Amino acid sequence: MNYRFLISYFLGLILGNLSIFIFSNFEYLGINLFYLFKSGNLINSFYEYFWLGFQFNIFDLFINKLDYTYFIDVFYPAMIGWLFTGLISGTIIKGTKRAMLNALIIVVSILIIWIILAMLSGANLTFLFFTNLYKTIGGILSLLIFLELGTIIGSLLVGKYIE
Amino acid sequence: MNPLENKIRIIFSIFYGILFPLFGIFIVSKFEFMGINLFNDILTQIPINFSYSMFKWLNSIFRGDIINQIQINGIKAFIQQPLMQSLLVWILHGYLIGIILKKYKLSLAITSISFGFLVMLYLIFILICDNSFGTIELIFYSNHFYFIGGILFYLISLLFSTIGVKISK
Repeated sequence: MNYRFLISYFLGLILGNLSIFIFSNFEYLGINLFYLFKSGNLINSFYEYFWLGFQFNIFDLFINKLDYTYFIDVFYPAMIGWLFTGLISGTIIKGTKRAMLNALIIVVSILIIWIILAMLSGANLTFLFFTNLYKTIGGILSLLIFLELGTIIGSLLVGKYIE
Repeated sequence: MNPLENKIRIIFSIFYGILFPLFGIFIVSKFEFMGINLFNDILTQIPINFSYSMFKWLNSIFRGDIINQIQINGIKAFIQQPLMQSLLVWILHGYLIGIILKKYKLSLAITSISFGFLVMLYLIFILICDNSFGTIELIFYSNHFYFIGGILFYLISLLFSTIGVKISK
């Protein structure tokens, strides 16, 4: 593992959720980024922050009727945010396989961080993974799809990785 | 890099350099930037009033107004419309040209050419829209911070073009 891999991984981790707020003028799903961290409970704030990363669902576009408001306000900022994150981390890492692996590690890391934060903040995980399975899994898969797509584009632009 | 790949990269970066700022400013702002909607105010208006729609479109990409925005809003300007979106577009413009071309001189040249082309197009459409030269006078004399702000965006684009080349090597 070289320094490019590490930089790309940490950049993806930091930029991921932040870019969703950047592309929605720092207010996503009615939650303002600055007010989110003013609430006092930092663990709860970080749990919400990571949770917002997969509140969009690609399957909604096919299953439900395509709604312009949903698309522009909810789906689009998240989609473009994860594509942007993938693109930047893909250009740093070089090599398509490495970039795809990196994207997968970023998604798994975000999920692990989110689950740990959910446990610490006392969130209802049963609801998220059983009752609301369609939304949660859909969000995670959408995140993975767009992050992978972004990294593939980025790594193709930068060219092959030569050791 | 073989000569054919080199040529493809040059052609692609020129197209990217010219087209990305035009669409990018709306892509990063949910298709509505400073009250102008890409579809309703520009694309559908082009067949009706071509020169004015093009002027509005080209005006959008230089509306960052970096100096005035920082004077009014301070450091907060960097996380507000229009400066944040404009900065993002010009950073990505330079960075990805650098990434695509992988050569310092060439990427700086293509960044300059694409920026210069857009400025030239902007000036041409100002002149077509306003025969009295009122708008162009307003930009270069009365509101010269607006013009200097545009040059600052060019420098930012050049800087990130260099960073892009450094990362791609």
